[in-house]
Amino acid sequence: MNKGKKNPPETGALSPEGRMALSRLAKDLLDQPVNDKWKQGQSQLLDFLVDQATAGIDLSNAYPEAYQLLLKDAALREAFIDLVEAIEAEKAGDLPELPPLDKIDLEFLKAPSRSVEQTGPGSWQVFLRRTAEELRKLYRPRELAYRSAAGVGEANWLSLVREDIDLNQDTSLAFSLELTRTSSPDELGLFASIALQSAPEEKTSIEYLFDLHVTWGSYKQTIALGENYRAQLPSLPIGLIEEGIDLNQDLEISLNFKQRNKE
Amino acid sequence: METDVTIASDILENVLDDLAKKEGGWLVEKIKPILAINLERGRIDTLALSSSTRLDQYVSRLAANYKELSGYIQALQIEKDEALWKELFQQLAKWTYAYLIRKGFQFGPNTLEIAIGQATEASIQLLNSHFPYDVAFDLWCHRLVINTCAKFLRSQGRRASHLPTLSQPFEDFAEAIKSPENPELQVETEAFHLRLNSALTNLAPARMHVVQGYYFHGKDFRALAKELGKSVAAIHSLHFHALNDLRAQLELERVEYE
Repeated sequence: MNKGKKNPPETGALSPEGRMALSRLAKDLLDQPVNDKWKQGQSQLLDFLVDQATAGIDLSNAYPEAYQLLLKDAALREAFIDLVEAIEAEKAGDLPELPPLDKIDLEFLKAPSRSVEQTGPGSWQVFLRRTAEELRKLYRPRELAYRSAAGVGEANWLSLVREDIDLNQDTSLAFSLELTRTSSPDELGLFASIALQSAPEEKTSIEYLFDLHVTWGSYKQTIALGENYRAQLPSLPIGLIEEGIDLNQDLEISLNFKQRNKE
Repeated sequence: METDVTIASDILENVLDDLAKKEGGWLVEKIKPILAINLERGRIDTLALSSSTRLDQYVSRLAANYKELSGYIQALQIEKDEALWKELFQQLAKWTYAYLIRKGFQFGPNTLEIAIGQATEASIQLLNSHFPYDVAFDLWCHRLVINTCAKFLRSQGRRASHLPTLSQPFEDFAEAIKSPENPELQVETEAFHLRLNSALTNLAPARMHVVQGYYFHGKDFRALAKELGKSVAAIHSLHFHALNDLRAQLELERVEYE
């Protein structure tokens, strides 16, 4: 740094316009704290902003609020710079060459899938998938070694999904979806439940609204979970499973939920 | 807020009606759920609903991307086509490796191993995330890669990069910066302007050009892009770098790990 080696220009020599320019610049230098929850939602817009900028759109004019956020939030600004510079480097052929990969391991494609995404302030989307193969092992275990639970024919219920999900350092939830016998021999019941674990201060002030979407072959249902975070979904015709129709399909669960303050 | 949403919904309905007439109702039915998610996530109402023209452009682009990419996305996310995944994984690994090198990792097998691990993480994200169809697929993937890598660096106790932010010496001038015309703060304002004016002279030429053009000559970023023969995105990047440099020069860097 050359600090002290140069004589700084006197601001007294600056025109009023020059002073105004310095004031604007100074304001842009002033980082402001950005609400974490809002920031997490907005960070997903980064690709959109970079897309617009690379298309020649001046973000400060077209999206002034988003641009202000970039000016004020150091981490978001850094991610913007990283993304822009990576794209520019790739266009210019300046990315470092990737050493040869011995083999590409795509095992993750077979793993039980799950994602947890914060979709906005105080709202999340959890996506869970059980592959048809996993479900077949559960429902019709051919080899005991692979069984993770008793079949629904032996017990009165079978846990299809049980997942513990951390939302943040204060809150986690345990989601389960269970297949059960019903009074009708032609149908199976589906029960969803969520157990929430929150920091003590959250427990008293915050509640959650859950929407559950279940897709399993031709079975597609959406249901809101009640105050106790439990719900019985419409029954599933047993033929869909006994005839193997839906056992050939992945089970997909999407859980959308929002925080709200208790009144 | 509700009024804004209502207006936005009305405009959106009109735009979708027009699209249905041009392209057919089937496409509208396909993109409606995507639009609903994008709207919920703020991709539309924050960025695109300021005018019906802009919304029309947004929806048209989303529809065009859907027609072009939905088959590919389905093959990746639903059918999990291994041939397509091999090609994509190679690309993700290349971006991940480049990111790590840019952050100071050494060329070689150790960094490659980390890159492969992070490319796998990004792949899992990609497999299960909602593709918004309003940007190029490559750009969306690249953003996932950068988010994944930055998260990894933070988990390792490293910062993704220098993130100069406000520190105590700068806070002393904060009131003067917010209210430069306040006569009671004239001394502080003058002192800060002196330091800032001095710091400006140490900026690299391109960064200096952007700062002078934007703040002192009132030029917009498109004009500056033309002058410097760069993209607008590169000018934004230069602008942010310049602000970071100025913060650093003003000894504002907070030496603190996230």
